[in-house]
Amino acid sequence: MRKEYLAMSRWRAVVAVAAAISLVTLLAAGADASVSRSAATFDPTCGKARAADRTVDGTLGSVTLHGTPKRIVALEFSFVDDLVAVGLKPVGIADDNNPNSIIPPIRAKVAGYTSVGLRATPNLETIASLHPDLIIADATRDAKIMNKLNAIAPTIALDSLQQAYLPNLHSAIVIGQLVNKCGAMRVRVQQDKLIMARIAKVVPKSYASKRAMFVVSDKTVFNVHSSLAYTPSLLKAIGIGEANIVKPAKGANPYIVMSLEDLVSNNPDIMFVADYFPGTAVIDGYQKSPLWGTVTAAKNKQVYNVNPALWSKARGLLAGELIAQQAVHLLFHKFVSIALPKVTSA
Amino acid sequence: MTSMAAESPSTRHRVLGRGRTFPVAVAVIGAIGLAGFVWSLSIGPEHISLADRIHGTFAPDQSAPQLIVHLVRLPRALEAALVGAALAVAGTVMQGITLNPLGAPEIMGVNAGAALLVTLSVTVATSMSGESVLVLAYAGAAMAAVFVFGFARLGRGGLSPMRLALAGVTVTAFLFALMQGIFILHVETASTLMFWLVGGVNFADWHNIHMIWPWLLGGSLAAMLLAAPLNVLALGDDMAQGLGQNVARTRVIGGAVVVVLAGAAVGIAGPVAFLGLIVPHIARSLVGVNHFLVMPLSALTGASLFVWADVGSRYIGAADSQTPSGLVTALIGAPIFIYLARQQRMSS
Amino acid sequence: MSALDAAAPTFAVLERRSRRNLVVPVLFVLAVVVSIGTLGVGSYRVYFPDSVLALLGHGSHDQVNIVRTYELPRVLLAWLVGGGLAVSGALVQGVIRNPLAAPDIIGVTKGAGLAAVAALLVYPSTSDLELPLAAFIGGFAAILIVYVAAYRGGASPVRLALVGIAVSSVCETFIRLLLIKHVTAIGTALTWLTGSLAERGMTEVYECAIWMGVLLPLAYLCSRRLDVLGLGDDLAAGLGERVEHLRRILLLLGVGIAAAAVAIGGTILFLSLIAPHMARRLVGARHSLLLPASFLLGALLLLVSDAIGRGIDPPIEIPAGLITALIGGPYFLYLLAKAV
Repeated sequence: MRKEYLAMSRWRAVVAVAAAISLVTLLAAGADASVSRSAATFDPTCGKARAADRTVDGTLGSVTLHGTPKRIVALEFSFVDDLVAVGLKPVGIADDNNPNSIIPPIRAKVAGYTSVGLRATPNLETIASLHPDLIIADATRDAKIMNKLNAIAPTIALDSLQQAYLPNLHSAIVIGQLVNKCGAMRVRVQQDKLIMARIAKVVPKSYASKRAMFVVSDKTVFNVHSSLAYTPSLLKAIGIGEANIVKPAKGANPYIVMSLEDLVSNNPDIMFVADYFPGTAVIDGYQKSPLWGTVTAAKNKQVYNVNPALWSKARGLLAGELIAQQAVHLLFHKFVSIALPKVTSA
Repeated sequence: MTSMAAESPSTRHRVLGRGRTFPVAVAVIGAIGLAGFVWSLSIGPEHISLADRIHGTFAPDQSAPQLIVHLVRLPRALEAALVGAALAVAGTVMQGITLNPLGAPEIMGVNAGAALLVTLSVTVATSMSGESVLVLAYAGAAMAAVFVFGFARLGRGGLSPMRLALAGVTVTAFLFALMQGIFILHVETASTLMFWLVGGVNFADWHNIHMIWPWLLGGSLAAMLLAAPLNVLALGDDMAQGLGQNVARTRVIGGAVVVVLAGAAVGIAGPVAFLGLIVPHIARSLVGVNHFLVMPLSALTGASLFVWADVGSRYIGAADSQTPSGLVTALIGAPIFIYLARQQRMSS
Repeated sequence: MSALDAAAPTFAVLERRSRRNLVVPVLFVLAVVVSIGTLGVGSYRVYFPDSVLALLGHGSHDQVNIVRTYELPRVLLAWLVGGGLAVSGALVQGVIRNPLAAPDIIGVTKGAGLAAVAALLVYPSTSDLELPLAAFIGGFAAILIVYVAAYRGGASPVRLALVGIAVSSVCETFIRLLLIKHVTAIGTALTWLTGSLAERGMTEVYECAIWMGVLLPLAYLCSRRLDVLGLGDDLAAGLGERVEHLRRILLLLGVGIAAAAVAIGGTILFLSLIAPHMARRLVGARHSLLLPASFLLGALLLLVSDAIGRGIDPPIEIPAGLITALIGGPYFLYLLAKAV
């Protein structure tokens, strides 16, 4: 028995050591890797970026381009939007094999593109067969395949997925530098800011302290987007306050799962609801509950259904303007034009 | 430790001795469960006074705090108790009809079968709601159970624990692979379905409870009626047949009971891990192998355990976001499962 | 013929044996044919014989590039990963002495999966090289835990399998927890978890080839030991084997191969379970034949699965693991129905 016990304790020790080693290795690998991801720096003067040979910084390193890219593959919807904003049309789009996931005004402008498959696993063979001269990848989702993409064409990784409004604007500017339309993109971004300001004018000052909540609901979960996510940060930019009492730590999951009590406790004044399954989603259960009436937004009839594709996954320049336009239209019944204003110099 | 092991040969004397512990066990576990239930009513982002909690539980007025207790916390605690009890009884019946200590619905693929069809209803047949999803859960559970029965009929006196467990695990892996395939093609829904796949009562409401309680009541009563045949079956197929029992009928009825109980539980709370596996062992270790005692004690223990697991889930994970309560049963159940696996005989 | 068979059973045995010896070359030829046939099945179709010409450098620039950069590595990886998984399955089944056991079941696959998902989700900038490392460490950590937990004066095969199942379910739970907490990368993580050869290139082929080049021949050298172990603990001990020691080494070898395969291809299900089975039906239980036959069958299965996955609905990459599950699940049920 004693010998057995010793044998066992020896094995336990081996396990402990192995577990410790693996843990340390993983942590070390992680710590090491996280350093390499630095915030992209950006030169607002377009200086170097105007040259024929230029180096542009992305979130996961820089890319050097010769000439102006003509055949571009975009792996996120917001990049497509940003390209369209400066009059370009990507040849390939990761559209989850469903053209309808691109919002209609953008879809109309990119007709004839080739689908490169799911955003989660874009098809490298299809991308290669399109002969792109630039690939725009998402810094979070596509980090793993950066070297494979780079082997096909110069690839830049930019922030889109799980990122707020400002980082997405920043991505647009970098895209401008990449496609040699730095000036045009800076004008377009300036216009975006002017449009947002135009929309913000309709929003009464008091709304800055209102608590608006953006919810994505499906059959199993009630997901609230925090201010780290795109839509709430955009609403904030036009002067509509944000609802979550607990602010998630930076880098945390920007989606918060809420029970009915959590909702009552957060008590939003305004709710925008992207309901994937109208009638059978979790929120529909909430709405039938007598407690629903205690939520200020419901009491004041300020619960608005919005389009999930636009509000929860588009994130581009035009998409942001459309969201802002819809928000004030829903809230104040005012239609604010998002026609591009004149900008003399950026 | 030997006194804890349900499989250790217990003499008649010890079994009877344990029988006498039944009232004590019921009282103690009932008290623990009740304490968890009461605690569960007191947790939430809103601070609600004791008076409001009591009123909210029994006779709510229209004030917000009492409504919260009555419409959110009470159904959550109740649903936890019902789901816990249902899975535990299903596990007891399953272990009884398969004559196998590892024959729990989650090991045998019954939960995965229900989960697969619910997943399909959420991603493909998107217009389905409430009751029809529950029916699908039954269908999935039944499908998996039919497979298991197919296996259980093979070989004399059932399969060895190892073969049955391997078969069940493989069927489960197969069903989960199909689910993953669906997820990959429906990424938007996948992210939220993951929450449901761990299982929990985070979104409980009275509607769910009204939907399942008749099934659970019927299933539990049927399970109690099966206690006598299961006691005979425990002696082995040949002995049971010799004593004039229709072994096949017992198994079919038992299988139907498992499908109803596990299907209903999974249909509303997702495939909660390990409850059906470990609770019957806990119950047997307390009162012996007599199903008349094990069945009700399992129900009570399952209810208490899941109520406590749900309480625990509010204290782990992010403060502002819900954590699926099934996570806690998985954390508690895992070491017990490993312990049970370790206890198995050397024969294969 | 039948009269001859009845009259001379020795001939029948000899004939059967020679037929068995034929299985491996036939499978090899078949695998090569399938490799060539499925080369070029992708979103960019290159038909035979253009695909082979493109491989040799003839044809349009596109054809050559696609076949060499995207198709060839996947075909080669199907050999290495599929074959490796099948051999590790045969090893584990030999050690546990149960035809239903597989690395999937004794915890290796899920352990590797957990570590890789943790690396993918918690440290999103994990490089291509670190992911396999994480999977490798996870697989070994899992089997160590399983072995220690199953150890009671020797690790009986039954306990190894049952404890493996338990540890697997624990890993599975943690994987789901990680997926809940990190929603964004869920698509990538799920694809990896289902097992896929998409987005792999020659780098992965070299990485995998190094491991397999060392471990597979080692496994083959252990064929006789595996045969002896198959006789049972007592008999094996009687034949002078240090059973527990041998079991440990063979298990480690099986796990090493499985971890190397999983590290590159993700947790491809059912291959390691069904390929050795099919092989056993074709060549019997002697490991000197069983291991090569398993290797080739595993390669064949993954070749076909990956070709279906990339060719059926381009540009969607359907993970090969989903196809192997669709093939393997029903086959497994059939096996059970036949009461192995």
